[in-house]
Amino acid sequence: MALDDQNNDVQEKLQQAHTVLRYIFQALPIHHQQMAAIIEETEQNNLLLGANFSNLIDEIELSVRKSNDIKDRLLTSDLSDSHFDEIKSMLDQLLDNANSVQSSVSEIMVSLQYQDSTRQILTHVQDNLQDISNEIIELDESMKNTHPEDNQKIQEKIASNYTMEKEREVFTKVTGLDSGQHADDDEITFF
Amino acid sequence: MAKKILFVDDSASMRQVVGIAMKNAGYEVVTANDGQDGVSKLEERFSAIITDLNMPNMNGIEFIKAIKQNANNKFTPIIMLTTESSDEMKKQGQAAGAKVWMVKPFKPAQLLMVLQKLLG
Amino acid sequence: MSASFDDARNTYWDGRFKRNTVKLLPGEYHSTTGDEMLVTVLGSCVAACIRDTRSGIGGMNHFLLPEQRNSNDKQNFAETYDNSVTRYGDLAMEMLINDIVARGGDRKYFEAKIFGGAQMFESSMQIGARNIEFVKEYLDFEAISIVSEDVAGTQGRKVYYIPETGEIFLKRIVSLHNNTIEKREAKYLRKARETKTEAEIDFF
Repeated sequence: MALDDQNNDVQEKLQQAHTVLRYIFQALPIHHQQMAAIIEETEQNNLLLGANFSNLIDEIELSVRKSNDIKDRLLTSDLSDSHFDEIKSMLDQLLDNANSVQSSVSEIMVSLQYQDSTRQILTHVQDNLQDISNEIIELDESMKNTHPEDNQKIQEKIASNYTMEKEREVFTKVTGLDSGQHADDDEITFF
Repeated sequence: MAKKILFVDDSASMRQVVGIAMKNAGYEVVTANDGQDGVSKLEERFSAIITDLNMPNMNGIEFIKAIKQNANNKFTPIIMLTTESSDEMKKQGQAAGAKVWMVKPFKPAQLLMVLQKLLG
Repeated sequence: MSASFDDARNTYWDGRFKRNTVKLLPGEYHSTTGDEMLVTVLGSCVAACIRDTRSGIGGMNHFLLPEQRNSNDKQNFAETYDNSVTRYGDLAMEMLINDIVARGGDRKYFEAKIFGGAQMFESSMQIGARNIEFVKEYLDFEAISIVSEDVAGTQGRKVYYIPETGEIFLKRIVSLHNNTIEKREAKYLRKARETKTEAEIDFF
């Protein structure tokens, strides 16, 4: 009977759609958390970079000041000609080096600012992922209570792409599952 | 006496970078992390106020309006420093009372040039 | 000859020029038969960039003073072999030229470009001027023509030299001591970048 066949066909398609949706619904919270973790980490890294950079600038400023002090002292002292020339020349070089650092300083300060837009964009992606989750729930409340053994398969598939300990930590935090692989305590493995 | 600048932005990285840029030029910087926090700092009078646009709790435009209502700072020059570059938003900023609109990322020299222009 | 201070310690990959780059410190010299780029920062010092135009073998030095007045140092040179002596122009020039020749460069085809010799600070010493005068006399004596130069003035220079092609890129350095913040870049060093590198500013 043709109508029955059509019905079966539609049923099958609905089933497939449901499976896909279920997959997406399971995956989204994991991706959401991975993004949260990376936003946090890049924020910390960037701040650390900035702090080290700030120290560096202070040191350079200090050495410039010291060089100038030495120069001033030299101009009032009584040294032999060639020594004086040598020392003055070396000071010139020191000051040259400090100068040449200036444009790198400017460029680094521009680079440090990119973290801000990275964070903003990642947060927007996160919000959009959340919207997708919400849409799916609206479509089918039953998404919330789905087959646990199937969920686990989905989650394991996601974790199979991971290559880093921090990804696996986040995954375990969200799903309560083991990602299936573990790093040694040591960072270095000898063969 | 170092000139005091208020810098408002919800990004810790931006607060750090502006702090570095200002420090080496002899300005004293006070920071806040959104419009609301910024308002709480307005008890002091600043030589200039630099603010981001998109912030939680109170955004940049609202904050500018609040500054204009504040007795200590209603004549303080305001600089908008944001990723936003649309003409629409720039018009809003101007209408609210900002003197300058800068689109991030900035080079330290540019910020100092702008402050020099506004503060002499 | 054992390994010398010519084996420059500071080598890095320059992403803009896409070349292995050797950074020279004061008193160093380096020459190459390959596609390396040489870089150094100059104040009152002078750098001579010399190459064989036919083969592209060439190098650069970086010296601080024209001549060593204390002749004892010259005698000790062979034993000590350290770059405190090639900070003097006469030895720096001799060593560089010999090195290029040793690598296969032909003097007949040598050309030179010279840079530096700025007067960086208030001083009656005129070190920069003396260095320039020295290097011009030296190259004249050696019959090596100077095909281009950027010398004297009051600003530092960062010089990029590619012996293979003879190309030079020059950056001027504005002094920190004068409280000037922005560094002026030679326009042929600036490549257009896709990402924003500075703010767009509107005054209302």
